[in-house]
Amino acid sequence: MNKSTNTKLDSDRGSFASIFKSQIFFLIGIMIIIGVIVSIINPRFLSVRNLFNIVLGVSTTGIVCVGMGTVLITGNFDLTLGPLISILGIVMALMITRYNVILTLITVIALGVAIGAFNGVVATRVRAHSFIVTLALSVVYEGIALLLAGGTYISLGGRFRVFADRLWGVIPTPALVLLAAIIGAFIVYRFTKFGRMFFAVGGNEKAAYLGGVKVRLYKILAFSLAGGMYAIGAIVLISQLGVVYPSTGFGYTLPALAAIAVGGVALYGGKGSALGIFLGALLFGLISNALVLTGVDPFWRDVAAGLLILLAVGISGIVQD
Amino acid sequence: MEQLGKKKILSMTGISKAYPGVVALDSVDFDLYEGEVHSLVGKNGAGKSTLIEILAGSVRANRGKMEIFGKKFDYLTPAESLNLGIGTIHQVDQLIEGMTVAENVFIDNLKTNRAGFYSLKQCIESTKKILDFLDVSINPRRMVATLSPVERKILCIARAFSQEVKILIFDEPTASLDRKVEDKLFNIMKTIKQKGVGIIYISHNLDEIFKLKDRVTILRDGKKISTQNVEEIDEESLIAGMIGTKAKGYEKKSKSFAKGMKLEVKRYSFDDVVRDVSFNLREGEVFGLAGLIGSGRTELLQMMFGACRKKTGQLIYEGKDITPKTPVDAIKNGIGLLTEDKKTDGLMMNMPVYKNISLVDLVKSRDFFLRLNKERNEARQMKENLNIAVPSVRQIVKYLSGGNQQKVVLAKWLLAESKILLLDEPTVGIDVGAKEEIYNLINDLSRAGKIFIIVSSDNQELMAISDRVGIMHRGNMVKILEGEDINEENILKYSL
Repeated sequence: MNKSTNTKLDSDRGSFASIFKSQIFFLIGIMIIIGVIVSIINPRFLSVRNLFNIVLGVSTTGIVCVGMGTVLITGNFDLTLGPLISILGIVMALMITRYNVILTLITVIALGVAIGAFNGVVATRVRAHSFIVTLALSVVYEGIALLLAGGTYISLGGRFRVFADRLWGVIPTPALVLLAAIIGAFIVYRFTKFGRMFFAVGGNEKAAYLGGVKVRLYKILAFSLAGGMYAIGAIVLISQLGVVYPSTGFGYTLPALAAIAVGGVALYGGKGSALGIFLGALLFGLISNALVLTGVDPFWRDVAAGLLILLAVGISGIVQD
Repeated sequence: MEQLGKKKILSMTGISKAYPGVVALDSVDFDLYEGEVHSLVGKNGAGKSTLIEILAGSVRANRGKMEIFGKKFDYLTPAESLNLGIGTIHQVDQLIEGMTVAENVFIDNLKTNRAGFYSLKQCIESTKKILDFLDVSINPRRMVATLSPVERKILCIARAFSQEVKILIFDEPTASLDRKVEDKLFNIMKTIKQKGVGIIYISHNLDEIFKLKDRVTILRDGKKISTQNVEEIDEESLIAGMIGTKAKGYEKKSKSFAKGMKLEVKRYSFDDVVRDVSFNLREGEVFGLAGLIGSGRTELLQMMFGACRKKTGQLIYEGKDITPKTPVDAIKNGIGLLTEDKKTDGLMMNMPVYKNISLVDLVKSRDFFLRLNKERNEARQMKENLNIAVPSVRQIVKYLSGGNQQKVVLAKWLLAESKILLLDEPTVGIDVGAKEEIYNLINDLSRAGKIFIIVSSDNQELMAISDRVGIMHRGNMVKILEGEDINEENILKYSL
């Protein structure tokens, strides 16, 4: 049905109803509900320290989600996230004990961007869905991570503990990096030409191509950006841990994908927001924190977390319909 | 309006259906006799689709009663609808390419042999019976991917007949078909009709309504305007009923051309698809491209835009070679392409109007940051200029009617200041009122100097808007008609 012909006024404001239907509103709502329930059971939930702990817990996930989310917005998947965190973390650990910290960080980020660009080139050249292409690449990278580390862990030797600290003893430093990443993504998505092009490519690749958009270029750019974000995520994570195992990053891929999807980024591309990605990641942290504070048996936590996520996705599907 | 000797098989009374913010149907009555064709006409959004969806059971009415074969219903489920013998031929077919004709016919009801295993042989036997019943011959073993568009439609009909059908709904069956093969479809409909099946027919093409006869119901803004015998109504009053006012009719304004050619299309060719096509265009000229589907018209446009491989071919604009190798080149040189299928390659359906309108302009700009206010203001200006009926430029494009979507695509190219516009079937699936608006826009823009090359399978359309009409046949440009010579007979003569 065509609603447009019935109204002639150019109201040009997002309708009030659409706010209630948005993913953002829904995510905030569900977090408040969980928050209220948990704080009744365990008042410690609302302490400043705990709230910051939640943000700390999702810092790495949130940072890498911005990268993977950008690729998703162009209508592609990037499943190399986890193994790349490991590789970049290992390179960082290997370098930091020998070289200057700044040089190390710059190298790690540049390497992340370069590997991302390589992923983008392969994903746009191979005539298969990027899901499969990056899945294959991720297996390769897992192997490389194991080779690089020689199958064992590598310690930072106590150096570079910046991201294990708290600013003024309160605010965890990784949270600041997360904040910067989200604000950066917000600016790119909303206010830059190349950000808009990511959405155009994901919104309708063929229409974008016929509209003169250099589709391949922007896809490669999105993959490169993602690689850079994985590097920053790896730096934050490994600095916190002080040690890196070849498998340290492996478990990050699917939770990140789930958080992005919960955050309202369309898996078919063209839709998503920085705030949504942040809230999606935050919801994951909130749920696991809530399960700890309410004293759920550790063995049941994953089951409960999975079910809660499924519930969140299910309800959001109904809300959006 | 008694149909002597015929049984009334369906009657819907007082059917109403409201969606949030829209009344789709407002107390509509509709009935159908056995063995008749009852056409349903109206603009996009008039409520035709909702009415047939209620019959098919995919939508429930808020109010109203239905009586089908003497049984009363408040609503139907899809399964009930099928069991009553109500079948629908959808506008877009849902066939499975990698399977045979026979398997597609019985896809939801595969035939088995005595041992209970699926049997292709049984399927083929039964398919043959259905095809005989429809009085057509298609080999049931053929793969769907090898069928022509009209054969696909016929297959859809055959599939409907895999169960007992007493009411068959056709939703714009000819939208994707060539005029030449339409008769094939109409003959089948006659056969079905003679066997007592009641047909509900929806189409934007009014000629077909007059060909198919029996009765026609006009819907407008969810209300029934009238039901009449086709023999008692003429095209003018039909259109008047659909759009509410007396049809203004489109009238081409005269224009004068400056001397000399502005754009040379030189020797375009690619294998057998397009063979050595050349023609010249004046500033502000509207050049129609006629021919059958598959005659190379669409491919020619795509080649001129650099979106499709070519062997040879040059575009010379004001003496300068601007031959695009890619769409990026084409856009730099002020060429725009409006493809036939807006959904697959014209619009970002899930994005707002203004982001669609600004796309090409943005691609051309060297800005790093977006200028959001300028972007929205320009989109609003385009909305005004082209009279795009939408409450806000933030509206998501997929909620717009076909005509408004087409205007958004046009706005996109105009904002990018395209000088040469290549249009592929610009009014397919668009209602009469919106069609006229598009014609007027093309006319006004060409008078302002823009060059149009328009592919259309609607000869009336080509006659109405073109200054000249080039006719393609199997990749060759066989004739260019001018002035008085542009008429239906000539177009058909050279097309076939």
